[in-house]
Amino acid sequence: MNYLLLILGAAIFSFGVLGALTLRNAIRILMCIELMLNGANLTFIATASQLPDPGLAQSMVVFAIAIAASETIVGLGAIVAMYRAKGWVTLEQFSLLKW
Amino acid sequence: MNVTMSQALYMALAFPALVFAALTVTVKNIVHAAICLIGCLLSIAAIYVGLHADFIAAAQIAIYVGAIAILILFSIMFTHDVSGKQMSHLNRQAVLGVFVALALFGSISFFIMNTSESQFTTNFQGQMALPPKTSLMAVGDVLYSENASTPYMVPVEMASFLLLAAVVGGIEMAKKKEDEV
Repeated sequence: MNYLLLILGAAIFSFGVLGALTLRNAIRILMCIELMLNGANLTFIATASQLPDPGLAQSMVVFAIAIAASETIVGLGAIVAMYRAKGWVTLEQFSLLKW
Repeated sequence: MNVTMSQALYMALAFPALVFAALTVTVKNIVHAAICLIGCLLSIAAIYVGLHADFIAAAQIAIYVGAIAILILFSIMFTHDVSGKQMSHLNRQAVLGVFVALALFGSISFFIMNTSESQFTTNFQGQMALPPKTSLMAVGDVLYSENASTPYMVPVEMASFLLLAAVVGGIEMAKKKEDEV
């Protein structure tokens, strides 16, 4: 097993978590979610390369990329709509749906 | 663990991926962060090529770098946040977030390092001599196969429909409304 790539996937995922927890700008948080997805995809591919038939694990990555693209489109659409309504994209200031 | 040729290659590819991922999170300017994200995605695509996942590498470049990263860059241009210029780019719980991310990385690495190598490889040792299919054929065999063991044809269509619905919804959300000031 190539531990190095698994650790790299974990590190990229953790950088994504770090950014999602600490950053203010909504678009940057979306970028960090992309980092997290890429860390998970890298783990998938690294594990698939050890299997006799890597097709199944690679197909899961195809699904993950398709869903990540959908998620980004909807997220960016919501961010642009919020910017039109409010004039900023700082996530801490969004309290519209807060009790 | 003695360093083999392929491991040295992976280290050479892993280093830019890690540095660009760190810069994506830490750099202050959001456009620079987007450029660093593109660098990280390209490095990961290079690693995919090294792992014989050439179809995924092409999809990574076409979809992530070609579409998602460009979409993010356009959204940055659309939402030029003037109010946030004076504020820090970090939020109030930044210190706590660092500890949570470190703890997460530590626990994941702990479990990876404690998983014995034999659990992954020994079961397949005899079968590794199979002739290597191209990644595109391997993925296509699974996604569009006609045998019942991999029933993924309907999920593929559902994923494509989800993507279409997301694109239509994203356009609808982001476009200027008539009654809006």
